Amino acid sequence: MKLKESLEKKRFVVTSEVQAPLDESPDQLVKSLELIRGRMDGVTIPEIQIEGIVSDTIKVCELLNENRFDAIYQTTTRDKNRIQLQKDLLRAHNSGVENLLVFTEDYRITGDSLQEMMFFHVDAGKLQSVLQHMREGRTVDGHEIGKATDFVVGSGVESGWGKDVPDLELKEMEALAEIGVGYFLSTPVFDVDQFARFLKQVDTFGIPVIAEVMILRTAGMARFLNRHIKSGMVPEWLIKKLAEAPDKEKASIEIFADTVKGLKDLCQGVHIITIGGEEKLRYYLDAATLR
Amino acid sequence: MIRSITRKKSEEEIDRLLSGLGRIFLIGCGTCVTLTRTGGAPEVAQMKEQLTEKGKLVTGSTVLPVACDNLTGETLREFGPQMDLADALLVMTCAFGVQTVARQMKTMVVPALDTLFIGKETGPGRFDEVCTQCGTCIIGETGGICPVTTCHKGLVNGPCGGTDNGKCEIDPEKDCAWTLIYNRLKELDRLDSMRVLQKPRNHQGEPRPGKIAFG
Repeated sequence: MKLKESLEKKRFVVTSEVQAPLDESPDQLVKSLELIRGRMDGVTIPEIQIEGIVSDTIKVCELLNENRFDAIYQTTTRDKNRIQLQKDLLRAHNSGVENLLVFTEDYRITGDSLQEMMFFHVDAGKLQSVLQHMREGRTVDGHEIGKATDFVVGSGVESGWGKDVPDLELKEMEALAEIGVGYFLSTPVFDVDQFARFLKQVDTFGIPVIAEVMILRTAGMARFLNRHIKSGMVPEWLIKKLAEAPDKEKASIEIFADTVKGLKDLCQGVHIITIGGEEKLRYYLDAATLR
Repeated sequence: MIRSITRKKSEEEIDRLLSGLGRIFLIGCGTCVTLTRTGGAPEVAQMKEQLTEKGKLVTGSTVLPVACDNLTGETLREFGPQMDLADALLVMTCAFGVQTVARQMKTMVVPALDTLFIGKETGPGRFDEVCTQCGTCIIGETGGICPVTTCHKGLVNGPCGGTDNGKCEIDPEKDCAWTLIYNRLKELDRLDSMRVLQKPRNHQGEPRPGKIAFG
């Protein structure tokens, strides 16, 4: 089932992220996705990874669609100006990509070309300011492009707040709902109770919320997130569990399964970030009884 | 008061820029760089020591009152013989000063500082960048706070996910511009202006280099 249909039918959506590989044949990627065929509603292919550049994302989207995996083109406005952005959106649309996931994207802290300028000419949620033109078959400058270019758009929301969600965040979600976002994607959820408090507090305006779940393999990885992404993002008890576990993989799978089980009654799906190791994803899905 | 904010270049870079140049004349400035302690009299004296230790001959030095003033050339000509002896002028001012000197003197100029931004003094020794002179001012809609400058990402349509309890993801010492704007608009009972979807920004408000002549 395609992502759009799953969202409309209010199924518990499962999506995952894979990397457009620089150093291997994309066919290998398809082979590892075959291991989880039928268990995903969509697969996101980001344009940038923490290490730096990746291969041709749109081409990989095309390949996944050909192989009947509903591709979600994940783009950012950090590394391109509006000319390149429109060009990429058009190319993705022409290639048959139906889904888009957009982030403003973090300040670049790792990977290649740290000294390169960052654009942010359009911010992610309001990428709609570009899309609304393209949806009507025009560029932002009003030139006809011959056809309507539209996508199911997922947009990131900051869900790290417990119950004290600032008005500012609420306003942001309201604005995104008004401009027609297809679903909200949360920031990574490690503490289900905190996420529950966030959801209780916010009005999601009927827009489905998909929780991002990052597969933590080691305590070091968790500490990296806390140090570089956001302090306190991964709770200490979780880091301790991973650090002390004699079998790290087993602990990692358990943590994932517990998180997903907790989310099933809270929101409309999960977006799984594997950070490599796609071939092992099925064991995580099994443990969390995701189809 | 606004000031040109500078930072001393690394010793390695200065060494590289002065490589093969044995005789140096030093120029500081009595205005911004004196205030920021990057090119006032004490820093010029320190630089003289640094260069002498490295075997350079400092032919002379001066701290100009205002290096970016058009009178700079006239002032410097008083040091004619000392400057004539020099292979290069090491200029410890902001880039405005360096370029003023470069335009008026025939000797090669070498900057000793990097110019970071035009800063608004917010307290003793504290400066904030509040305007980048983009030529398309939108602060009439953002409570008088510029998101183009104050938001690291220059976002004009509300905050990104990196806002963290009123601070910015890139530096906990820096305020989140959109939290400041939100609070200000709330105070003014003008939160509705945050709902207006700003079009993609005009990045060519004043194509570089800016140049104007008032009649």
